[in-house]
Amino acid sequence: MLYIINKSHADSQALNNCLQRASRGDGILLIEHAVYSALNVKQSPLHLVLDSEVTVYVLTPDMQARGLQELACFSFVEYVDYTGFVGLIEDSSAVRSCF
Amino acid sequence: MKTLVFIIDKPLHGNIQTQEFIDMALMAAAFDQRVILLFEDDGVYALLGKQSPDAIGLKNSSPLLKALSIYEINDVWVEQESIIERGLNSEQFVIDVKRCPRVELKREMEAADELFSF
Repeated sequence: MLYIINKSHADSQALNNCLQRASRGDGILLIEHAVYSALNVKQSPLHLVLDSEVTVYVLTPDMQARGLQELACFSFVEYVDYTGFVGLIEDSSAVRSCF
Repeated sequence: MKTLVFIIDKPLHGNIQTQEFIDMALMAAAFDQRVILLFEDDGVYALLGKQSPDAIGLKNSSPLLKALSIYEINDVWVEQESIIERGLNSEQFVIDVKRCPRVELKREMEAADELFSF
């Protein structure tokens, strides 16, 4: 399952709710304001992902638009562009938008 | 026939998107698709009986929920964990629902053709 999140953890419970449901092999894609949750800060619920088998993806155009640097993000985060976004959708058994 | 899961994870009040979302589900059912309505997180509050939202000028969604079977939407599921976390039980709900644990719902969603949320 691929979960798509578009709001930051400070604005919405969507990321927290999705982390409760995600399991091995699942992916979480952060787009729009959700890219802020990729920043390596204590407040981000992505700390919970550290030793799980969930893959976190971030949409780079949305990151760059907000001036976020990869260096400031969690090291386990993977980066995708629009082509990668489409590829993720193609490869996922189910896609859930958590808006 | 496709299996479409419509996920309601927010309360139904005070949001124009809600009505449109339910309309989508009804329309899909009218076109003979298998529609599963899934309530989770704060969406489960929508199922509570004795609502009188007209007092604050909003529309009551309970009659609509009761009409779902007319549209042949017979799969109304609720995530068990969401009910328990909120101290609710299914006797308080306006319609009969199927309580499903989170892991089972995940399997069903993986098997469905499309997932919709709002």
